[in-house]
Amino acid sequence: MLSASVIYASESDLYVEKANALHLADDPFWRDLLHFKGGRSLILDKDFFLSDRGQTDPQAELEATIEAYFTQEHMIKRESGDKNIVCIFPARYAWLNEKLDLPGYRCDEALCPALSQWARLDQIEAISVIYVSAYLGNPASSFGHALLNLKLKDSNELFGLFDTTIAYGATVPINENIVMYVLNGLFGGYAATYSDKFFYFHDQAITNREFRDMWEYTLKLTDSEKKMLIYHLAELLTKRFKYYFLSANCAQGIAVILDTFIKEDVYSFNYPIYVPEEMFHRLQQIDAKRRENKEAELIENIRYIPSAQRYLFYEIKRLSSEERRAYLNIVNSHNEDFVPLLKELDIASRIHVLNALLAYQYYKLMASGEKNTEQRLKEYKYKLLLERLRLPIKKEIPLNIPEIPSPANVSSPSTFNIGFVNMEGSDPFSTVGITVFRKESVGMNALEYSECVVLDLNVGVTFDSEKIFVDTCNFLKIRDFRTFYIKEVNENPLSWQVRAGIDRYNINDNVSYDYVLDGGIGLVQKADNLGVFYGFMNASLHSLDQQYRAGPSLGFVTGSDFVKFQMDYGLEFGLEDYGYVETVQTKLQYQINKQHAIQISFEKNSRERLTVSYFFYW
Amino acid sequence: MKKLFLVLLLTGVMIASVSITYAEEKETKDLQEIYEECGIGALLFPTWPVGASVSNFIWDWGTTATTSGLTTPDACKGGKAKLAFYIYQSYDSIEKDLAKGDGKYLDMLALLSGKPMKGKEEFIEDIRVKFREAVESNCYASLDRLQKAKLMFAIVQDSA
Repeated sequence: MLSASVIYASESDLYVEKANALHLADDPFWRDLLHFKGGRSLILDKDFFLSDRGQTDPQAELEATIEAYFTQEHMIKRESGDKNIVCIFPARYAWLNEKLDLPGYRCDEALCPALSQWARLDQIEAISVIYVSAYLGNPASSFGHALLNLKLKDSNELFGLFDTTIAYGATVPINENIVMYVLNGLFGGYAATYSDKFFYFHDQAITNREFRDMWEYTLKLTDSEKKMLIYHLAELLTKRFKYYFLSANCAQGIAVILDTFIKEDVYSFNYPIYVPEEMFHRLQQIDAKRRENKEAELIENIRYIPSAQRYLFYEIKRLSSEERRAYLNIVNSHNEDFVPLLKELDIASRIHVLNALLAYQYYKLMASGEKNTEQRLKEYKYKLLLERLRLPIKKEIPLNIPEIPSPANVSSPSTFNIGFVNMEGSDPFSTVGITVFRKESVGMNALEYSECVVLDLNVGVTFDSEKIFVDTCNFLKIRDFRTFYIKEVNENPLSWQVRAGIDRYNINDNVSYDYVLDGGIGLVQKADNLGVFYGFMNASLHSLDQQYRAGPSLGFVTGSDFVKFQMDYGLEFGLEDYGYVETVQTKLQYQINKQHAIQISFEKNSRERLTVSYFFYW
Repeated sequence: MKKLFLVLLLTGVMIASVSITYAEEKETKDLQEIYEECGIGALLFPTWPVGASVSNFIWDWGTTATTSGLTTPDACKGGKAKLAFYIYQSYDSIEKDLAKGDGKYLDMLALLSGKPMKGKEEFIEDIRVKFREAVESNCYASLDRLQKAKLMFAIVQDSA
């Protein structure tokens, strides 16, 4: 036994020497595999390391990894699955074998049955990343979400439901208080892990319960890149990292993995704020560059996966007028004895109406969650279910749901801008601004005329450069236009808007800042491809007089992807003396391309100003 | 015969709802037993200790359970476990497709049950009939999600 250990030790010493000669511990790939950043690994769990010093010393970890290969002696415990160290760290050993030609190296099904069964290397054809649209029901998903998917060869035949999907997210105690959730999320109070599920799990949660759209970007990786990526994911599952909502979030977790296996830089740790959309823009940029250089493209295709809400919308839309009438009669009558209302229809029409009614009931049940559903609704659903089961099977033509633009086909979310301002009562000045997240109604984005601007700061500079000042600041500006709702299912059609920000006023050379909290609810009407028209009732709090204001506003947005015009007109009543001012805001944006735009805006309320700005989207 | 099968099935499901310890030693595991063996009973039984949920992607489901294999016990990797998880997680979508007799969740159910394209239509027809008879019985509406999933699992097993 002793002599065997001596032999192993001397053999491993030989390979350690070889590795040192090649400076493998300094190789960026080795450091990426250990998730090294700023002198230590970002992985919090000690059982990710074979050396006691592994968390801070890549050289020690390299040596321990080589030694463990020969001795199989290590402290890593696995309750189930493979025990051989090669199967626990398959990416490390595959790479070391490539560099050192490890004697007797193999990582096959006989040695690593659990890894092989999970990795399904012979069945996985491609790697994809999925962008999930924003969801206001969960603060952590308000900027969208990202998933990584290991796609099976017959993924399409299986509807992708059994692809292995990797998510990265914070581990949050059950029933966590929302305040603690936000604070811990923002300031690193949670650990994050990679976890794996079959895609159907996400399909249920995302498309059927939260009603969010998805876009799947299938990437073209080489077989070797795919294998290494999958092996590395196997190493990482359940390992804990520190989670920060704004930076070390779901998108960063996925981007870091892609960055390790795609030759171009996908991610840089210098991003103070990182939202999922940025990763998809970066992938699109890499793809465009490769195509320009006549290299193998990165993105093979983009697949749109509509939400259950969109399915319902188009399910109802394809009813004939007679069927729709019957459908509406049943929905609006609230009468549980709906069968007589179907009697005048032929069998095919009855089937169509019942299919639509069922889709509607499931939609309502999903939206309210099983626990919150009234027994009466459940029983009503069973009556529909039974009535439909009594009619024959009828194969329908698949619904044709129009695609909405993927994040890759719109502008990047952050902006830098410079501009010129002419404001009544002061000399003209120039502005320089930066916005962390800008999706304006007049911009090129996938929000269907809605607006979301977060952390937007503009600094003014007088032309003689004597004064530099804060011109405007928007902490948050959201306009949620409900252009897509299903009136046949009595969905709430109300749109809303909110703004928290700071405005600068210069009246008779007296500069003052108005801290504003503004909100409103209203109705929006979409006019096909023309644009949207809306009306709001607003109320606002101001630090300057009048402090309490309220009033109605009307407006519209119209135009194409490249030129959009927005106009808002309103009356703002002071609630202290009931005097009022007219408010006008117009914006015209010309989108030169996805990255560059010119915007002219005019504003009239207690101040009057004209701004011409150039925006760079990045 | 079919009626007898359904009566027995529904009786079993109702008994199971009263006590989870009813199960005797038997070769064929039902959906609940598979779930328990895989250590994710917390998903089904709120009184069980619950560790943590993972945000960003399963906001409302509250489980750390994994389903694709590497970190799950061996008992959870077989075809029946796959089928059991799928039925429980996708129950509403399967139920809706089954009512119509068409849809991707139903096609997936047929595939998981080992029904190739050739035998798929007969399989769907068969489980649809059994399912209709179950829904026609008055107790279906009072079953909870687990009980319904168990019923569906048993119907599929019987037809496979």
